[in-house]
Amino acid sequence: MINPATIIFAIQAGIKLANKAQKILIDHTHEHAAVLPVGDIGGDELESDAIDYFRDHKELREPGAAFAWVKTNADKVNAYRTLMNIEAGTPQDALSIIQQMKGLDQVADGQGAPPALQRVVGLVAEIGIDYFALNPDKLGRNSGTRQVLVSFISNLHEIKFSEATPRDLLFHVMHASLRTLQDNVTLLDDDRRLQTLVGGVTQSLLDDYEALGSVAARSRRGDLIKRISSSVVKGGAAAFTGNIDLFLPDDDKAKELVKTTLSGVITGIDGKENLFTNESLELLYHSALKAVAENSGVFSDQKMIAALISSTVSALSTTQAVKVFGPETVSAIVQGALAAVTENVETLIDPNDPDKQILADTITALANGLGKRLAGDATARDLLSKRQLVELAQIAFAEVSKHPEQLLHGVDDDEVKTVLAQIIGSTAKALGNDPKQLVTGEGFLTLVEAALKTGVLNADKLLNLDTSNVRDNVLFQITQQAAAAVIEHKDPRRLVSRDVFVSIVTSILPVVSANLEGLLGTKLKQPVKATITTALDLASGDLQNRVNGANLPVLIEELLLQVLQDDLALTETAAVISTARLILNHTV
Amino acid sequence: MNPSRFSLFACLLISLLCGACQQTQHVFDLQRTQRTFDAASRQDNFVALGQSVPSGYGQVLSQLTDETISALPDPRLKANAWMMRGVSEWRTGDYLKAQASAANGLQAGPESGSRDHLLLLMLPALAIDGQIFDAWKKAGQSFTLEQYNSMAANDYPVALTKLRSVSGSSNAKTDADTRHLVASHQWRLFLNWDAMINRMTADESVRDAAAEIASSHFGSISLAKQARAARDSIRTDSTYGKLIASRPNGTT
Repeated sequence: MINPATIIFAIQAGIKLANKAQKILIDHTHEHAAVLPVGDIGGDELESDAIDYFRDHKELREPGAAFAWVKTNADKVNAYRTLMNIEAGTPQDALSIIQQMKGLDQVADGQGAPPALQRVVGLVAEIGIDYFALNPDKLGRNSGTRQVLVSFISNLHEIKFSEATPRDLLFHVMHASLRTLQDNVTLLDDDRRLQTLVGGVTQSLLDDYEALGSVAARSRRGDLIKRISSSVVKGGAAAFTGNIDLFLPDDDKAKELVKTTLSGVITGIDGKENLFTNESLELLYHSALKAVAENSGVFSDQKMIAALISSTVSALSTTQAVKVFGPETVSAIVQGALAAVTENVETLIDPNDPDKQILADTITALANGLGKRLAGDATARDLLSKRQLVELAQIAFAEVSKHPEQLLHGVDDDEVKTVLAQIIGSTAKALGNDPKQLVTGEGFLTLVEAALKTGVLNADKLLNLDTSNVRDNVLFQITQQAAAAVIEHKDPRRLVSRDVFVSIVTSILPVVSANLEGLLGTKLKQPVKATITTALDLASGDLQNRVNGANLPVLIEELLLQVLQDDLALTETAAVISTARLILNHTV
Repeated sequence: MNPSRFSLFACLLISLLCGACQQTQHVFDLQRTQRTFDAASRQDNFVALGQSVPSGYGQVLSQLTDETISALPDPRLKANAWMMRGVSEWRTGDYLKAQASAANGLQAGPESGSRDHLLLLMLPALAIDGQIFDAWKKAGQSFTLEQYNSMAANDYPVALTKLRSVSGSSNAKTDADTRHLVASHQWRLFLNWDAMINRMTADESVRDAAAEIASSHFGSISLAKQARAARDSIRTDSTYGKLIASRPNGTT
């Protein structure tokens, strides 16, 4: 049995569509460019001018004057030609002008009905009818779908549609809004926030498309919009519902913010769209909205956010960065960059110098620091999972946010010689030919974080920024001595697990940094290695019942402190044992 | 819903739909007339250049009856129809009807500052010129003083005052070509009037006196200079600018 309500709806929709179509037809007919008659012309300009001239200069025709001979109108024309040096006119082809005469527009350009918008509105009605025919249950007066549709249509008039707006583009953007938001209770309860989100997203996607001049660019952008429209609506909705205080409906800038941020994101990934999945774009837009909303004073237009994203993506797309990070981490690292900016905009963005891209430089320094190989044949990707690579970038972003000038200050503009690259390189290359023997991926990240924290506080002493060879760095030597000690010692009790090694290194780094005189001036060639070896000897010898994996790092740290301060000589075994006992007595 | 009430409701809605279709048909009819009018205007312009072509205005007039115009669903379309009817009447010499059509068109409510609005405002002036011009042609393009005084001397000041006031109704919506059209008709009417004085069958002093009286309506600036000023307000690269420049003696 046919549902009467469905039929009535179809008729209502049909009437609405017919009315809309008729309105378009009327506007089109009214604005018809009309060809108009020019009217009869009996006068002659030259004749008028000549006669007028001699009326004004009667003295020229006085008896005896130069033009006394002028009697008739034809005489006046001839005399006037001579006086004014007017050559016989070469009439243009009036016939061809008449033939080519175009119709007169009803009104000036831009003053008539917007034909493209009219057409688009008709299309939307048509698409809506199709949609509701398939989903009649969604037409209820209070349904979410209806609210979303109202929001979508309400914003169409602000979009600069051209005649070439493809129907399927509208279809995708409209469906993305309907599909994604129809059940979003939080947004549906707040009509103005819904309008802001739907309006901003719709205007951004379609306006940016309309602004593209080339067919190829439009084709690419059209494909992208079809692919990502649902994702960006979802990302926007998540940002809105998760940050209620940031997108206040009474704020006139909210819609503009939604729009410019999306434009910035799309501009930022332009040409690298394939590095982003729909899910990652959803998160990216979410992060970008949060970053921009929290720092709207800095991100005053789309250029800043676009520059941040595109420079970070570009840095991740260099040959070296691709080898280190791989293309699959790009979107997550860009998100990490946005998160870092959200929290540290004051140190990471200089509104007066938008070309300065600190986070992109961080990526470059990181990639250069890790190099093609860590040490031996191992690469960063051998040691670190994708998640850990992203985490590594986030650690670097966090530290750079705190000390951008110190960590990224380059020598001779050589990014390899930045403090950041040197610290990362020193840590990575000091772990020997098989870093996995000493650290897990997580452990490596802990080491890097500790090295950054220590290194930045004493960079000029721990690093040699005049060379790109990290082996000259004190920081390298400390880690390398620790690694060598552990690798070369038999450690029969197997106390030095990977976690313990990381604890040893992270605990001795600050000690050595504060006692470099001892490191460089001691009689011992390699005091760090010697101290660790001594501690490991004690742990498997005289103090085997006192030392375990938990207190070993503390024992090494305290022994090393005394060695570097010349309070203890490792050659004096009794003193070493006594000191070690004392240390262990104070260690739980 | 009660089935009988539903049927009634459905019938009502369907009849509404059909009503909309009928109104649309009137708009399509007007579009056809617009095309006929354009063709007629083109033919007319060839005639003005001395070409012999049949007039198409008769067909326009036969299509734009009072009934067909009143059936149009939008005031702007009615004004458009009255404009085409008025122009057709002007060009076929039915000047009084042209004047009435202009009044009806303005009554219908054209869009302010639009081409149709300005044309409807101009039509009475064009009709006056047409009426005088027909008489002048009939007199072999040379009035006697009596003939001149009986029509041109009194009617051109009325026509040109009307025509000059039309510019005041233009606004931001007015297309540049429409502004040029208004100026080109001013140029044409001043030139026609001046030619009627200059080619009058009368002594030069009589013609000079007539010219002086004519200029007195416009701040004692001669008709030739008024024509020149109107011409100068038209961009030379516009259609009307080129058309004026194409006049055999019109190049200076």
